[in-house]
Amino acid sequence: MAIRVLRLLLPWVVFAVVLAVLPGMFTSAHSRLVLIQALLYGVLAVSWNLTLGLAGIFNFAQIAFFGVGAYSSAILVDRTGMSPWLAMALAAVSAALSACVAFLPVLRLRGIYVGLATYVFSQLCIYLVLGQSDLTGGSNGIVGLPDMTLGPVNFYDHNRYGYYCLGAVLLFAVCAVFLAISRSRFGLSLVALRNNEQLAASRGIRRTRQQFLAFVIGAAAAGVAGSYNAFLNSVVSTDVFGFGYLTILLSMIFLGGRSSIPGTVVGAVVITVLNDRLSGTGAWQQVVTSAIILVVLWVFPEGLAGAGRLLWRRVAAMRGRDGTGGSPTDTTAAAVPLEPAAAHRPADHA
Amino acid sequence: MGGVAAPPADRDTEAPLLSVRGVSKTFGKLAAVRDVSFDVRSGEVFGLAGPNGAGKSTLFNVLTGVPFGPDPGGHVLLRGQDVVGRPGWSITRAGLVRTFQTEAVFDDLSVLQNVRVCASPSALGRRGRVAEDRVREALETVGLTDGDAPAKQLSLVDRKRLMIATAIVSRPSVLLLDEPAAGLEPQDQDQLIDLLRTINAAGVTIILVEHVLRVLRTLCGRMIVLDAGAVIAGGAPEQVLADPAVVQAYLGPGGAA
Repeated sequence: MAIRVLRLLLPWVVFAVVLAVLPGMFTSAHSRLVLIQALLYGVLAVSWNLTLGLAGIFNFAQIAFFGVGAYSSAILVDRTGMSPWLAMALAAVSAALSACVAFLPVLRLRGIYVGLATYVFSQLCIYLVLGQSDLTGGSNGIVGLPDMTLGPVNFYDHNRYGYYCLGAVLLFAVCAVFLAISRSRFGLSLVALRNNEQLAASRGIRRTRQQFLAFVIGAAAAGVAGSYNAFLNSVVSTDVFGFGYLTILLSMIFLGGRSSIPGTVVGAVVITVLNDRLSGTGAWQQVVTSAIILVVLWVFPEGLAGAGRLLWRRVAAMRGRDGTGGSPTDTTAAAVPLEPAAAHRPADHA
Repeated sequence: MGGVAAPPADRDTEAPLLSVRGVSKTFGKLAAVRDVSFDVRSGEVFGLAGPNGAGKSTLFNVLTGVPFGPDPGGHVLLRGQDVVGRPGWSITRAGLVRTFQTEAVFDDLSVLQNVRVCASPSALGRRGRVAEDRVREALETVGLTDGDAPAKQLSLVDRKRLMIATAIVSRPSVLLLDEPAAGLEPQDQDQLIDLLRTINAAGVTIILVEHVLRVLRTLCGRMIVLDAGAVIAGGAPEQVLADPAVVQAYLGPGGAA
């Protein structure tokens, strides 16, 4: 029992330690910003993975939820002088409310048509923002947002150390919550609906309700990420709804592995760092990034997460051959014949 | 399936558990199911036969609302309550649960997860522990031991077993089985017969669509035969299967001679 708990907690402890140690290793303003960007993208990509990966819904409105979160918190702080913390919480609410609207096409449509309709929703958000320029600043956006503070600590100080810590907490929390969701009955029902909608309906699973909840929960997390992004940059513009965010997040999810939370986080880190390293190379930035994604997906269709699983099975199979373990349920391990192991025994070589 | 109460014994006097009245389904000009009516009593195994394209699977579709209900005008009364017009998930939760002709399971889930997701607390009165007990019970009933095995790696027979486990975990009133014996070797058919007897003995009423006549004869007390969407015969299996109209429907004109 104790070993089971330890095995369950160990990855989280390692994750927390890595998050705590990283800012000490990357202290310059630039590298710290890259780290923070990776955290932000990680939160957004994991939140998107609930609908896109686990539920298998072509939801392209996630960027809109991110933008709605950014704009609503910026407007609230700009107009009412509200605390950024409260605005961040309300950003989750407003993004969740916008998800109620974006979900409407999912009631009737399926597959790629959901993708088209939800993408149109994000584009409509841009026009809504531009049309309400009194409130949103139109194409100028809203600038000069205050920095977040906690007591006497300004998050911008020490090369945005506070923002790093908040981003790390958000990423940790989002990963924990979304992993718990993916393992719950609710998460299983999303996979069931993705696999076979008719069978799911004939087992009492309510498609509309379950997928609606996935939309709203994913949107709330994206709204918080949007708010975080607004205060981090102290500015918000229609860029947050743009195609740039959409493509970069999709590359992170596909590179990392759909419906894998650790994979998505690794994908976010790899793409963010890659983009930063290649930032001086012009168009080569996109060419190299795309080439790497294509090669990884060619070799490992399930992305880096798939590669990791394959490696893990190999290790488990080798351990099984040594007689030190190997799960009986792991069919790859079980499929490895036992005879070759006997051939390695010293007695056989004699 | 230990804890299930057996249905009342006096079957002839009680109201039917499931009463199908004037159910039709038309696709354009094609009448797939035509004015079908029959009653199923609590605790029985009721057979449904007919040549390919007779409308058996379509009838299952319209009875369970997955993926569509019947044309307006028909009634499907479960314990006297009409379920027509309700969405599929709701009919399922009311107790009318079907399986499919192909061995449908959730491929990306493990065996245990497949059954667990079908025993959601909302379907079982929000009692998680009870649901877990039922999951184990359902797997034991169908004889699947490795709960961690990925569903997509199961053999045909085990996929059929798993599909039945996901259907019985919610303890349906009526289980509608769509050709469960299709593609099975005779010894596997025998095991299936035993399994269906166990499920039936635990109080689950069964409607069985089957081409394998041996299975129908062995299990069913009563049956009907559909041809071109309409009921052409009904009664005890031996009597129905000897009916000239049934023989002709299966073998074509002149087949009865």
